[in-house]
Amino acid sequence: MISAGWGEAIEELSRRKLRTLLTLLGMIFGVGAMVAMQGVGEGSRREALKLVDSLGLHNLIVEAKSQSGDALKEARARSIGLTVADAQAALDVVPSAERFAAEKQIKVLSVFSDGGHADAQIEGVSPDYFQLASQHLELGRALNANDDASLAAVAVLGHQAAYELFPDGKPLGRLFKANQTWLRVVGVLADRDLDQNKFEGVALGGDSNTVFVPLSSARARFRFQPMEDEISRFLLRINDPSSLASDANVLTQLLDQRHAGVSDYRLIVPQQLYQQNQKTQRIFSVVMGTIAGVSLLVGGIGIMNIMLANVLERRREIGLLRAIGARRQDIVQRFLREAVVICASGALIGLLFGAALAYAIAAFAGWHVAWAPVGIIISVVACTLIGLGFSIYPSRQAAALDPIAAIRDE
Amino acid sequence: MLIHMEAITRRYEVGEQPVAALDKISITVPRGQFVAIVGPSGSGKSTLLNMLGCLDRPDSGSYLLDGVDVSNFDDERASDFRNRRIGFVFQSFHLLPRLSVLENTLLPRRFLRGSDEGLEQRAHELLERMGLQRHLAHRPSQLSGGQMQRVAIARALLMKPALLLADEPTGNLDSRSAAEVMALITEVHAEGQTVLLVTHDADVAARAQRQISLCDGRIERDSAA
Repeated sequence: MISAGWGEAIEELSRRKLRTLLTLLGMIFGVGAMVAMQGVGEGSRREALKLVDSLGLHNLIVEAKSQSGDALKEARARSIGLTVADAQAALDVVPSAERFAAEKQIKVLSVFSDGGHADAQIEGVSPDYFQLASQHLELGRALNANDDASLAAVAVLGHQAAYELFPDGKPLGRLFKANQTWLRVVGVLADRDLDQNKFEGVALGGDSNTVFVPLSSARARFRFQPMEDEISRFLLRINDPSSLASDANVLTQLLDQRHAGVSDYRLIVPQQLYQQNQKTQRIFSVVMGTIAGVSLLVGGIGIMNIMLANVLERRREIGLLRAIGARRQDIVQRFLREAVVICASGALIGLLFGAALAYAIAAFAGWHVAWAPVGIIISVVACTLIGLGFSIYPSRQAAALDPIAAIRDE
Repeated sequence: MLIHMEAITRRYEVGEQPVAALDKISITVPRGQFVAIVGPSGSGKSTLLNMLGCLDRPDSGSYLLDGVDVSNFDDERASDFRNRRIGFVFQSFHLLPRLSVLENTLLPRRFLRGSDEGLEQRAHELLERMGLQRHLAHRPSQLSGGQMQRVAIARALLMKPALLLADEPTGNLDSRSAAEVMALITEVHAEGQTVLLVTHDADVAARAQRQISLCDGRIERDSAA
C-alpha cells in the first residue's frame, strides 16, 4: 500500500486531467504570487541598499541650500555659508566622527579634449572623498593630499566623462580643458551602474559624468560667484553606526550655532533615508503579501472543493475498501496522498511561474529581482501546508462515510 | 456458534428524535449455516449488515463473532478483523475498473498486516474455480455481470473468511446469471462456509436454510425459532 499508494494517487489524478489542472492552477497562482512578491521585494530592498550605499550608509551629509537674490543676501548677513571650517568643527565636536570629505561644485562652461567633449559636472573634492563616497577606481590613482597641497592641475574622471572625452579608451596622462584650465587625467572611476541618480529625493553623489579635481585646486584655479558657499557639501564618516541619530543631533546643533540660526544648509542621514524607504517597502510588501495570501486561500478552497467532489464521486470505492479491511486512516491517507501530489507539484510549478512573473514585472516596471532562498523556501513550504490543510477536511469526510450506505449508493 | 448477537441496539438521530434502526436484536448462527435476512426497506437490514460486518458499533448489546467480542473494537482492530475474517459480496459487484480481474481478487491483500504467503496461489485457484482462468488480465468492463459477480465472490473468499456476507448478490443480474451465482454460493456453503445473505427476493431467500425477517428494527419472524 505504501509504495503503490503514490503511483495510484498520480494515476487517480491523471484520470481526471481537467479537474487536476484546475486544482493545480489555484496552487500555482497562490505560490506564484507569493514567490513573485518576494523576488520583487527583495530586489527593491537590495537596490535601495545599493543606492544608499553610494551615499554612504555610515555617513552624515551636509549640503548647502541653493539660494539666490534677496534671500541669499539676507542669509549672508548673518552666515557665511557652508565652509571647510564647518566640516572641521564637526569632526572635532561630533563624538563618533572619524573623517570628513568636502565637495565643491564648479560652474561648468566647457569641458573638452582634442578627442571629444563632455557635458560633465566639475567638482572639487578633498582627498578622502572617494573613500567616503565608496567610489572605486578603474584606472590610475585617486586624488591625494599632495595634489591638494600643491594645487595640482590634475583630475579623476567619472566613467562616462572619461569615455566622452577620450573615446579611444586611453585617458590616463592625457590633457583636457575644463573652463579655462588644462587638467591632466590621473585616474578613472569604476562605473557604479546605479539605475537612478536620486534616492528618496536626495541626489546621489559621484555621478559617472563628473570631473573631480582637488578641492584646493578648484578654489585656486576656477572662478566663483560672490557670496557663494565655500563648499557645496561635506560627508562626515561616523565610525559607530548605532550613534548616527544622536550624532546627527549634535551636528545640527553645532551647525545651527555656527550659522547663527540661518538654515542655509540641509542635513541628510542616509541611514534614515534607507529606513524610510524600507518602511514604504514594508507597506508594499504587506499589501502584496495580502493579495498573494488571498489568492493562496482561493487556491486552497479550490483544492478543498475539488477534493470534496472527488470524495463524493468515489463514495462506492471508499465503501468497498472499508469493507475489505481499509482503516479510516488508510482512506484519509489515500486522499491526502493525492493532495500532497497536487500541492507539491503545484508549489514547484508555482515557484517557476512566480520567478517568471517576478522577472516580467521587473522588466515591465524597471525594477530589480533578487532571491532570498530562506524566504522562498518558507513561503513554498507554507503554501504546501496550506494546501494540505485544506485537504484534511475532505479526507476525513471520506473516511467517515457509512460504508454500506456508500456502497449501496447507485 | 459463529455469530452470537445479544440485544443489539443502534439508534440514529433523525432531526431531534432518536430512531432505533436496530431494537434489541438477538441472533445466533451456528457455524456452517446459510441464513437469509429479508425485510422491506427501512427495516434495519443495512444497519444489521453494517453491524454483522464490523463496519459499525452498537450503542448497546454484545456481538461475538467466531468467539471474539467485536462490539467494542476500535477502527484499527475492526478493519483488521474485516480484512481477515469477513468476506463481502455486493449487489453491484464493486470491482475497481482500473484493476485487472486478478488484481481485483487480490485487493484485500493491500490492507493485510502480516504475511501474504500463498494468497496469489489461492487467487488463481479461486478464479479457476469460478471459470475465470482465461480472464485474469481482463478489466471488469470486459466481463459480463455474472462474471463480475464471480470475481467479487472470489475476492470475498480470498482470505478464507469465517463469514461470507452477501448484500443482494443477484439484484443486478439477469435470471440466468443470478441462478449461476446462487448455485455458486450454495456450493461454497456446502463446503462448510457460513453465509449470511441479505435480500428482498423470496426465491433467493428460499435457497437458504433459515430465513430471518426484519421489520422496524426487530425480528419479525425467524424460521429456525
